[in-house]
Amino acid sequence: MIADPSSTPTGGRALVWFRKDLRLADNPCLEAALRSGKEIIPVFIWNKEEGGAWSPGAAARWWLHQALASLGKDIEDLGGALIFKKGKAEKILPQLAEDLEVDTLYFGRTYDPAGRATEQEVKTAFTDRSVSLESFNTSLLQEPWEVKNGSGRPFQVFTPYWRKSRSGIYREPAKYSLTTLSFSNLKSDEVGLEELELLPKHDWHLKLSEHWDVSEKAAQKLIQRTAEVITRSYATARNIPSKDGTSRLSPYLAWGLVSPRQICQAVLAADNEGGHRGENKYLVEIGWREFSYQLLYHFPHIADQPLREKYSTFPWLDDQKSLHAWQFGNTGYPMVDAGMRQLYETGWMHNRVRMVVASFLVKHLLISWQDGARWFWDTLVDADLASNTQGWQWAAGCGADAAPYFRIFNPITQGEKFDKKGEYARKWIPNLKELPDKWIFKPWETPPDLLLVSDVFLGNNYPHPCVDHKEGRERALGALASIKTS
Amino acid sequence: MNTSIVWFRKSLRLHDNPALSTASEDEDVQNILPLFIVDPDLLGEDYNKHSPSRLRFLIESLSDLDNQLSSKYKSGLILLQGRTINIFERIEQKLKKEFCSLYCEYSSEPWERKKLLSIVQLLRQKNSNIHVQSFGAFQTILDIEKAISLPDFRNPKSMKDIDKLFSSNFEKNKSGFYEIEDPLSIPDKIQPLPNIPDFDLEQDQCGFYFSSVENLADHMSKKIGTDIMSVKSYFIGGETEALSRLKTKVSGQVEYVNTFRKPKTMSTNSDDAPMEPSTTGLSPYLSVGCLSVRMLWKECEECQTQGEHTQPPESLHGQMMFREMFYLLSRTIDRWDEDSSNEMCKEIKWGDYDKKKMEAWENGQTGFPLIDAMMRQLNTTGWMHHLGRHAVSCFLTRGQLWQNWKCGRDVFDKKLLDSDWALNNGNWLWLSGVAPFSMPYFRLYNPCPDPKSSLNVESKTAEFIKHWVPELKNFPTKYIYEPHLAPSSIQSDSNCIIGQDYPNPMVDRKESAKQNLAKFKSSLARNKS
Repeated sequence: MIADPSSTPTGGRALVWFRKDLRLADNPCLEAALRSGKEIIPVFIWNKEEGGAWSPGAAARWWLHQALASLGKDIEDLGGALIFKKGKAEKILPQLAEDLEVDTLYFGRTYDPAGRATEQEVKTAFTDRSVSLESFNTSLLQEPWEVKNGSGRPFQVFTPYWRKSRSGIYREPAKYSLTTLSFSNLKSDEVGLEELELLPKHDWHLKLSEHWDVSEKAAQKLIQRTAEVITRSYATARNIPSKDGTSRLSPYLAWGLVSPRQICQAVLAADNEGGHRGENKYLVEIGWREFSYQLLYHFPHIADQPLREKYSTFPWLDDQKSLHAWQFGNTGYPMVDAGMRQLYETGWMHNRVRMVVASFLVKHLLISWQDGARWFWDTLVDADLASNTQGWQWAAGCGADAAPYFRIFNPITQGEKFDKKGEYARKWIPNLKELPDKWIFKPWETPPDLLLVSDVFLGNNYPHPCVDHKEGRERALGALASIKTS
Repeated sequence: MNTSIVWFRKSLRLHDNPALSTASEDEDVQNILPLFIVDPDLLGEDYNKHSPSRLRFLIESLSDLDNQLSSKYKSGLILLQGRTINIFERIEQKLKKEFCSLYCEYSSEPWERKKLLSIVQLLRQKNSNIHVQSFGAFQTILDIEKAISLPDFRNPKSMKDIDKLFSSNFEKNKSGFYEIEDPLSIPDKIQPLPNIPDFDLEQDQCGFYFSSVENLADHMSKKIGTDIMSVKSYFIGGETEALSRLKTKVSGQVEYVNTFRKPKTMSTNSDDAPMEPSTTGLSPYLSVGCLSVRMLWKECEECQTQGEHTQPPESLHGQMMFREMFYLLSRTIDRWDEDSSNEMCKEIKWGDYDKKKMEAWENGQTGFPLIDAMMRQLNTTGWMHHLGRHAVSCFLTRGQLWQNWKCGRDVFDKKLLDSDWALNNGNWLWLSGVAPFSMPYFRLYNPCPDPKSSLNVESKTAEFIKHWVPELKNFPTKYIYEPHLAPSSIQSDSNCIIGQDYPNPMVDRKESAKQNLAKFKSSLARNKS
């Protein structure tokens, strides 16, 4: 449908191109349109090819689908209509601008290589047009180029980075009332949400909806909970995977259903009330996210290549059988398997356990962090290229400020320490639920009588360990030595 | 057709039977084969390890189980004889891929644990998919294997210890009772019997398939040369009888249960019935598992919720907790049934085995009427009151005869209907004075008790003594526990001349006690040096 010029609003029309900022509150694009009195035409464009090898995985696409449905509904409630398009942004946006007679295009910046390339294409496509382009920082506290070390280079160590950029936490969210936003309900040759074909073909994703309420409203509730409850005991509770001690905001952040500014503001406000002003452990995690973004921005190759070059010759094994066992939680190490099963069941894994499973893959199994990152990418609802890359390079010891490779998490004692009563392990591996605490993280050492009364049948209803802890550890250290001497 | 074997070991019942319930609810299982194995290792190749009464009790229990399986499910008990491992090997050969699972109770005795593990190993070699599950809290309230793997587990040596263990294993509810799971009810239906193959058991290896329990009973009778079913008995084996006894003695017997104090119960049985225990008399049913101990626990609890009640160690729950304690210790202590290198046994230099002494004791010919009545009761009914066991074991060991407790233990094991390896050894360790949980060794029971004795003997009518030692039935009660002190005129008036119609005391009880205490003391001193 072509716009009726007679209805052109006096302040003009703006296209707001939603990308990784699928929210209405604290959205600088919407704020800009509001300030300049423009009618807003919201659009989302799906281009399966855009991300290349890092096009969103199955879990992320499921999340995206839900988030778009929710955003569409929220816009509809305000009298607007979210337009869905399929294809290349640089082709679609100029056409839309022309058809709908818009004078401005607002969009939020992204920082991954593919997103940045798209932005360039879009800018080029609009060069000769009378449409003005404005882009905003919609997803970070600080732009990656804003924080540099003394010699003008990007930081590669977190602590000095955060010291310098931490003031970003005080940046305030945009304040406007959603009802003042003026959405257009103009349509174009759009497609329905279903036609974006975001949902994976197989029905794996169906179970995800049991675990997540994907909406901006739900995100706001989680922010409040994070500020008022989670951060109070975060320093200790965040390490206990059986507890609901983390914010669970990561998938909302990944697609921008919340902004880091909103989170910081809520946490700081609650801190002030509680007289806790000071270094808040939770905000440090927001800092790591920022740090990861600035790394990916400055070193765009790190999604595929180790940041520390000497690791490019690391002798990883091509062991599909073990990789498969790891992916589906069949390594025989309950702490690892519980985590991997939680991931596959819910699209999410507790952070403490992410460290354990990642270390297990790259060290005990000697399988490359890229293989791990790929699996996470496909199964995590919070998959985010910057954080996923940083997390895996950290675990593999080849990234910035990484855990040294020789520090090898012990999958048994990690369980015994952080899941003392085995509640997490039992929850995700019900076949082990009868096994007493003492043996829950090392079923292979359990006396056979006890296995029989606990109905654990190793090799049948729970696997034998796929690698011996000690041997795996020594093999990993041997591999490390090989790149040190070479 | 997927066949599951439900192997009955020491729990001959349908109620509270997790193995049977699990198999009946297992959707993969199309047939259930209820199995009992007559293992010569347990009964002896000629069934000579158990007394005829014990064999009879077992036969009755099996027969009741078989009848119930037939009437409730149109199924039946499959009775195979042979070494357990051979039996399973043969079953596997016959059923092949149809053999999908084995459900059984966990049995804590070292050889039983080993037996099950070797069965598992054998079966998995043949077919790696056979599911074997044993159930822990079956013969006991605690799941023994799980209880001993708790971080705060230490060997319990007192009621306080065992109570602490219970609190590590169970929460307490608002009324202060441990939250112990309710016994399982009898399954409504079970999968039918498979077509029973010809097992081809090798007779030269004692292998046998019995088509009925009667068939087994006949076989036993022929082997031992006594008709098992005509031996005298008092307790009738079987789940039916167990539940009926539970009902008359415990369920709803609020006053009896709530005022129950074990040390106050009479060792000389009920006043009007010399055969009927003053206690519940349920121990034989627990030992072959015709009654679930969890069921008994819950029935007692049901009474206790109705008002004030006695507490452990004296209460009925206390008795059951001691039972758990012995089960736990027998599981964790090496050489539980030995008199050396056994952490629960002080080494005492007992006297050499004395056949004459042992026979007099075993046959109730010691010349001490209480001891003799108790032992004759054991010989006839397969049962004895716990305080009677105190008396005869003290007499045999540190009191009068200075015989090794293991000799008494073996007699009890053969004859007691309630014999149970964990408990029998535990009791002998306790009562002979050698265990850390024993009473002080120098506290002896007088085998000729007066009415004030903690052995709680009835002296007014002495019915019990007169019943079991009929030689003394005309004796005045004044002399009934020490008849040789009666003047000869009384002896002849009573038609019982001591030394002729009834033996003289085989030892001077005071002199022997004095010597034995000194020997016990010097053994202890030797251990210390």
